[in-house]
Amino acid sequence: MGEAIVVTSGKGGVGKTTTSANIGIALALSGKKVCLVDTDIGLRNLDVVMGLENRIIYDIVDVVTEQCRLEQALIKDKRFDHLYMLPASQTKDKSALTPESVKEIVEKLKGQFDFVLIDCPAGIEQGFKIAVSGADKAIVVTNPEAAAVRDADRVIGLLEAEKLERPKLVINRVRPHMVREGNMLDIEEIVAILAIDLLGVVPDDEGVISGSNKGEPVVMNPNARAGMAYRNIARRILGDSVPLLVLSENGGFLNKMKRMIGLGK
Amino acid sequence: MAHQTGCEPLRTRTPVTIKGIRDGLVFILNDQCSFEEILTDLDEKMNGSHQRLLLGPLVRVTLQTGSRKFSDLEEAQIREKLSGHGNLIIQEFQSSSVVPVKQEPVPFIHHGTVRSGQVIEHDGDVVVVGDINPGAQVLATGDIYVMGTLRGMAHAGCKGDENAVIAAVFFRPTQLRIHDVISRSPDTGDRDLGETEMEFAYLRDKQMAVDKISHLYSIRARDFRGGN
Ligand SMILES: Nc1ncnc2c1ncn2[C@@H]1O[C@H](COP(=O)(O)OP(=O)(O)OP(=O)(O)O)[C@@H](O)[C@H]1O
Ligand SMILES: [Mg+2]
Repeated sequence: MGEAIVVTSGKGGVGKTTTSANIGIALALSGKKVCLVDTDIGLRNLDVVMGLENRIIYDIVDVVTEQCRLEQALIKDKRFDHLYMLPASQTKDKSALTPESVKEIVEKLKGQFDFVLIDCPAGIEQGFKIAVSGADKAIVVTNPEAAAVRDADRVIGLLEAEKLERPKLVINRVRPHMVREGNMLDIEEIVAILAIDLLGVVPDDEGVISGSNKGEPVVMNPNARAGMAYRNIARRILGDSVPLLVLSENGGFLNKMKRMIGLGK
Repeated sequence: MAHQTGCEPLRTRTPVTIKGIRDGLVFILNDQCSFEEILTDLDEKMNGSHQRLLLGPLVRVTLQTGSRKFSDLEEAQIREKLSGHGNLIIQEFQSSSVVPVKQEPVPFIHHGTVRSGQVIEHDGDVVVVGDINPGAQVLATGDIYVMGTLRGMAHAGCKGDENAVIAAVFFRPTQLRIHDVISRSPDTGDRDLGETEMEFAYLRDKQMAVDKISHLYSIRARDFRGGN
């Protein structure tokens, strides 16, 4: 039986879809059977980021409304045999989805895959509830900005109420020089406020944008710093203890981070 | 117990009725009669009509006072009347009075972070074992104590207690409110949190003031809530 992890944030545009795609591929790279589920109905883009848009025939709404079987809607990745995705619907009526129906689909997928990664829509309304309904765990994505942290906090509160396992935090789009100059929220401060375990820090990297545009997520690029960050996150999900990427030359920062993720002595 | 209509006229004006039960005696003190009447009747019964009852072995006595609740003084007077009879042991005064003893509000203890969008409201004091984050609100009719960082909004004495205080290990509130006084976080500049010591906010001449927690007691003792 696999585990279902929802990737959520509250605030829009902080990198949920990017994170889902990259962690999914990184887990597949480690030989895991992975299924990505896009629950962002109406604004689907996980398939674009994955470069799989042209293969979509059926989607999650078709599965729920029994227009097709679950297996028919699953799209096999073009690079990995054991990586699949279940696309969201661009146009169909999203009220067809309910927390119960999505939970049922996720349960089925857990029987076939090691990891089911659920890309959640922005917000905390029905779409959020649906995305969270089948999840065992959650990854909360935020940016080093006060508003994003505020929304992440809100979402963590809601996840705690849902009785999910303690969520893990990914801080995305960090620019080391801005943090150093005090123009961006300090990682340490964010972790102190949100009071959950840090799963990883992803630098702001142009490679992310170009990768998404080509349908080749940055994690495939061995030289990109963000790619390295995502591979490390995947290893931490698999239980390895990997030190945080050195985002700055400042040793103090790194040591503090090590302490936070329980790697320091 | 069987319904005894007929045996005992309802609303009898007998001030004291004595009944034997399996493990003792029940004295029913009519709540329609004045306390004086009861004392007089008790006297009469103890020293006259019911004397036989009072000569045997030790007897437990329960006094039922109906819907009335006797004061300590009144209870003492009744005890005195009975104490002359060595074999009576007063077990208790039972009252069906529903007038509640005025209850002290119980403090509410929240374990964990109060997160953005969450609201805690409580009648009494609130203790948060964790942080209050930006976007979170805690409202208490009494005091608020934060065993962590206060970054959100705290409103103590929210139903009119201007003597309420807000205490936190690290003070960084978005806003503080005590009674009807609202203030933003005191301008502390970019102070290193590591060096702050626990503080509390209170109202001094209707103005928000912040002081070290060690002064809380002296302020409380001087201004209000007495020295006990
Ligand atoms: N680490 C990064 N470096 C640079 N750009 C990034 C990074 N992460 C995400 N982006 C860019 O930010 C934009 C938003 O990312 P993404 O679509 O993953 O966010 P989202 O949270 O899924 O948004 P939505 O709430 O709309 O679903 C995209 O253009 C993406 O390429
Ligand atoms: Mg998205």
